[in-house]
Amino acid sequence: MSRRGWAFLGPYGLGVVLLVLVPAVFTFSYAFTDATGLNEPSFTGLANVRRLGGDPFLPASVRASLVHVALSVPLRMVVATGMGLLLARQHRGARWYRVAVYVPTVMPDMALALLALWAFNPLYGPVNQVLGAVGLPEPLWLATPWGARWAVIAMLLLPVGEAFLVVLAMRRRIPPSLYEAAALEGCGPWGQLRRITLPVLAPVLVLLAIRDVIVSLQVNVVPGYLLTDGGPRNATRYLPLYIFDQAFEFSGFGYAALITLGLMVLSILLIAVMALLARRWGFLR
Amino acid sequence: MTVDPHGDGVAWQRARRVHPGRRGRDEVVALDDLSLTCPAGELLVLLGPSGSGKSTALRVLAGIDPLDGGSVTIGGVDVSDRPPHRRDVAMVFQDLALFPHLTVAENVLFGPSVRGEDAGDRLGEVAEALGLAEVLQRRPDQLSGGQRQRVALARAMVREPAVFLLDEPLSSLDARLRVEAREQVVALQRRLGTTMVHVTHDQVEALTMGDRVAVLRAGTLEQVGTPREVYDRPATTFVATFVGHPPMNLLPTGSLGEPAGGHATVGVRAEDLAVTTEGGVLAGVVEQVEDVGSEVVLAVDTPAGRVHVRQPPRRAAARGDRVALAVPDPQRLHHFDSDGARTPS
Repeated sequence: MSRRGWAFLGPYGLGVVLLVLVPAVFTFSYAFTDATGLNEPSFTGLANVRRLGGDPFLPASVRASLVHVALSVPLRMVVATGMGLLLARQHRGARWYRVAVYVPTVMPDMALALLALWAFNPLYGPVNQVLGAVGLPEPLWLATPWGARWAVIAMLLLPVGEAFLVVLAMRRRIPPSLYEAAALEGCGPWGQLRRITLPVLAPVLVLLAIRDVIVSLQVNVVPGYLLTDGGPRNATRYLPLYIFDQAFEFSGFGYAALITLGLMVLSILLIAVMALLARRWGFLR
Repeated sequence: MTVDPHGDGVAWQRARRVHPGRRGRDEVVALDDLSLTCPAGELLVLLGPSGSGKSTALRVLAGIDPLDGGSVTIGGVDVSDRPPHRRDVAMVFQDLALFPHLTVAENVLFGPSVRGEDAGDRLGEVAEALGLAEVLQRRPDQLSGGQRQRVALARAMVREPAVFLLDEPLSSLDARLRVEAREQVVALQRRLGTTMVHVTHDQVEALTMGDRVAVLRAGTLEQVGTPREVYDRPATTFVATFVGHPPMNLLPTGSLGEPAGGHATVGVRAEDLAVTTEGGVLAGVVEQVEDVGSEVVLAVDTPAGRVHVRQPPRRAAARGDRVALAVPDPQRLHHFDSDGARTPS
């Protein structure tokens, strides 16, 4: 690479080193110490690992995270893909809908969480008012474990702008002649979606889904903290939230670092399984 | 639908198509009451520059674009209100429209699989005929340009339609392959005997492939006839200059020693002019010499304007020479009125 190339890479490289690599090395080394953030950490060998094995709250946290990913990622993909395909066409005014779909993505998580807090209020929140108006049951949302899980999932269905944009752009790259050729053979709109659009987009969708698993394992910390504070009954004490609690509430930097490594291993495992399945099912060419 | 050689092929009757103006742009009349008939079993070429409506003519026939007026018939039946797949047409697109995620075999069998038909034996036949047997399991991005073009043809052939529609499928091929593909398409059409409408902007392609050539301009038909008719008796100055290379020389009336009057423009093909040493009807200076090996085309600046003259190779004049031009056969002159329409000579 030319000298100028390296110069352009410089700021980004610096950021990666300072903000990712160095903390990663610290995390790895902290994971086997009794660091509290205040003391002089001393090496404790596998003490943290033994603690991890006997932690009664950890399984609930892992379960909360896995349940969230299992429900949230498919739904977020459906929303992003659906919106991307729906709004890829040049309908009148479609550009304003595109903006509307993207806006929640640039909103701060805090604002979204506060909005959700209001929306899911069982007494005066609009969600239950709408449900009540059409005669559906009005759950207590944030007060019950599953209500809280679904509320977080619902809130995170809004900021899907990146995937939406990628699907939109990729859909526009499919030549119209493919659809015309299909129509000549009697292949209708659903057939075209099933036989052309989705298969052609499959590699992109797999990539987006993998990315969304990584993101979903991490982004739910804000709603988990603001909306439900991990509850009720730890139903939304996702791994990042548990790590935060351990590190800052209980001053257990060392132990939190070890759980962070665990979260990374979990992410890698999930991605590996997805990549293998996608390859086996022929979604990746 | 079987092909009846005496029956009707396809026809446009006062077919009209207007592209709506969007975002402040004016609407465009792509087809302006086009009426044209292609008898069954014929290979008709629609020739015209971009924007002439030739592709639109194909697309309204296929049903991909709607008609804003008039009608189209296939096999004598008005199909104007039928959806594309009920018109029994097979189309090859300019970009070939191969499905990138499917193998060659799956691409060719796309239609039958949509309709739930078993066409496995047809696949073998078609692949054999087009030399695709070796590449059936490959994907389009693993094929050469010529192979891709043959896959698109195979996909059209596999369904045995009433009419083949080809929308400039050869334009993406390089020159040598294009000649090959041209011959292949013509041979195919002769063998199958199926009506074929082929759209191109390439006049050489039109002249070499078509049983008849229809020249389109701004959504209207300028002339339809055999390649020889279109070349030898162009109906308008537009056809005269669009068909043939170099374009026909068009000069003010009287420039070529013919009696003036009754027409505004006189035209003569480059090969119908001769360089002569004595006499001649027009004199000028050779400005350019285009030697393509088998022939030489001189561009001669004359008082009447620039004139192209086709010469046999190796004895042509050189750049800067003063030459006199003669018309050995006055029968080969063409006369056009002030609107550009051919007048009897």
